[in-house]
Amino acid sequence: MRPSRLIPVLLLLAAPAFCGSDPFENVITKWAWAINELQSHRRESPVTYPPVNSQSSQTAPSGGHHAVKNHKAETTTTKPVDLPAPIKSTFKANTAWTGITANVIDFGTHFTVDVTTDQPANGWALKRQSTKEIVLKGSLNNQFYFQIDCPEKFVRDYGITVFIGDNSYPCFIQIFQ
Amino acid sequence: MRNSALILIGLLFAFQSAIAKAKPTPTPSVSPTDTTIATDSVTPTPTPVKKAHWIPWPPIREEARTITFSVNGAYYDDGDRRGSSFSFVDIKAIRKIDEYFVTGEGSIRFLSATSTTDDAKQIDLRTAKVTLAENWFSASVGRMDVSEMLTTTRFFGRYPLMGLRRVTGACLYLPVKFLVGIEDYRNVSSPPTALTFWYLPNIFGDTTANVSGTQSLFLAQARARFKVSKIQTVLLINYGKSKSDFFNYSSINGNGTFSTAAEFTVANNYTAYGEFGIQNTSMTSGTSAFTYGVSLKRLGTFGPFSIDDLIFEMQVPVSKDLNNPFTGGDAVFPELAVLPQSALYIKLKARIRGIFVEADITNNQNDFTFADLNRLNTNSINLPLPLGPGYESDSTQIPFRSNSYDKYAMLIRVGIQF
Repeated sequence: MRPSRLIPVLLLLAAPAFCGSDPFENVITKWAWAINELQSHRRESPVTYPPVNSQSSQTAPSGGHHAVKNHKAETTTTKPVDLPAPIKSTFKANTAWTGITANVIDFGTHFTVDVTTDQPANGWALKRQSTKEIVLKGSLNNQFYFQIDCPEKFVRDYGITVFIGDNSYPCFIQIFQ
Repeated sequence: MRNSALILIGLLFAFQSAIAKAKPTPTPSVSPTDTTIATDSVTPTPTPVKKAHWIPWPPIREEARTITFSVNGAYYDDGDRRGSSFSFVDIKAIRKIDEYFVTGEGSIRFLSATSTTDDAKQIDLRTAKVTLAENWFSASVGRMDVSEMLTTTRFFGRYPLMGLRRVTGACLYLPVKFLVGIEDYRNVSSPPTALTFWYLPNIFGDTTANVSGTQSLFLAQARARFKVSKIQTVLLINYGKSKSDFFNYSSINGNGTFSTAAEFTVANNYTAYGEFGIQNTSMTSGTSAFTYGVSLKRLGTFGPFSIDDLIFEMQVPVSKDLNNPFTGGDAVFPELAVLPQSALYIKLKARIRGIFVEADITNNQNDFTFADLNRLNTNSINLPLPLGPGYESDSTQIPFRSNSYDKYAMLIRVGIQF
């Protein structure tokens, strides 16, 4: 073999030594910084958040890009990288027929609402207040509790109408502040 | 020429309107597929959807309705050893609220006295109601039970309706704010106040009733529900007016009828309540009464035995008039007239596992109801009596009264629900 043909092979083998262990290092570092900035910014809102921890990154499968990404994020920034935690909020309304308590859990990509009423309900409707659009609705069998699982991203626009009693009295609760 | 031009312009305008209507509007269509509907839109901006020119009615499905049965045996004694027993079956069908926010209810009672015959002595259509509910109102029409809406009492009361529970008519419910001012946009949850209106073509028995409007009664209610410390409070104010004067001492008097009721609940199970009513606002003396009571719910379970409900209720005539035929008075034969007295009602509803056992006791004389009319105090042989039932228990809904104020009538029911 001629020595000139060995040069590309040697360069290829030595490339990691010049570029670092991961060719996506810069991108990962940039995104980790952005995620941490967003997290710290969101914590300033009045909605109560659960304590942030790094469990989400620890539970990521080891090896591959996940392991490299976490390692690099911890070494290049002071703040840990964490996935968006579910945001819990509670809203209450005292209407003419019933008291309503709505516990909203925002998972980022979707949200759930646990609704409890003082009087038996026979139906509900989840709607957007800006457009009056009915997003989800359902019927109940004189229930004091029901759960809504909405596949949409939570925005500060939703409200729930609960229909109470034999005459389906509409009782509305807004689920944002 | 001028007329032709006007006709041409009119045709063009109609054509333009038709085209405009044919264009798809950005309003999202309501799909009648299921009771749970999800839209594809994620952003608040609605996506233009071609509006269907015809939308089918909701399909008839098993899961869209609820049917409940109640099978009961009962024993009744009016306090004068005139006991009777009977069986009754209630069937109640409810159309669950559908994709168009429409619901309905119908209930039937079959009652048969204890005998060897299979014939039902009595078949009642107790409710037949259709309700349209929207986010800001609900409207019902048909035969309905208005007792929970109109009052807070369990047995006596409902004075604007002469004690009736079930009436036929129309009802409109509006959650509104009574306070006038600038509404805070952030606080748009339903207010704790509401207005309800009823139009009842008549409240007489079917042989007397007509729907020409001459027997009609219009009722309006203001409702407020709020919490004071840990006490859940409900306040009701009812006002009604009939079109004509049938009986001066009744609520169908051509003037007005009024009642106000309140309820105070602690820990969801312990309630004190009351209602004050004037059946003719122009004859306050002789047509007014006051009812107060206590309701204790879910008192406890002892082995297979549970106490579900215990009620004490008292009706007190505020003013007495010997001419009021609805309280024992008699203007035709004054020597037969009696004055109304206070009446008591006690109810104990218990349960042995899933079997309900209920005992009701009262010395009620049906004061302030149509059931107190008779041939003598009305001096009429043409009037079909009774004009209406007397007071009924809230659970059995069977009218019962004692033989006199000094004796107590008893109603015992054993039943199951499924």
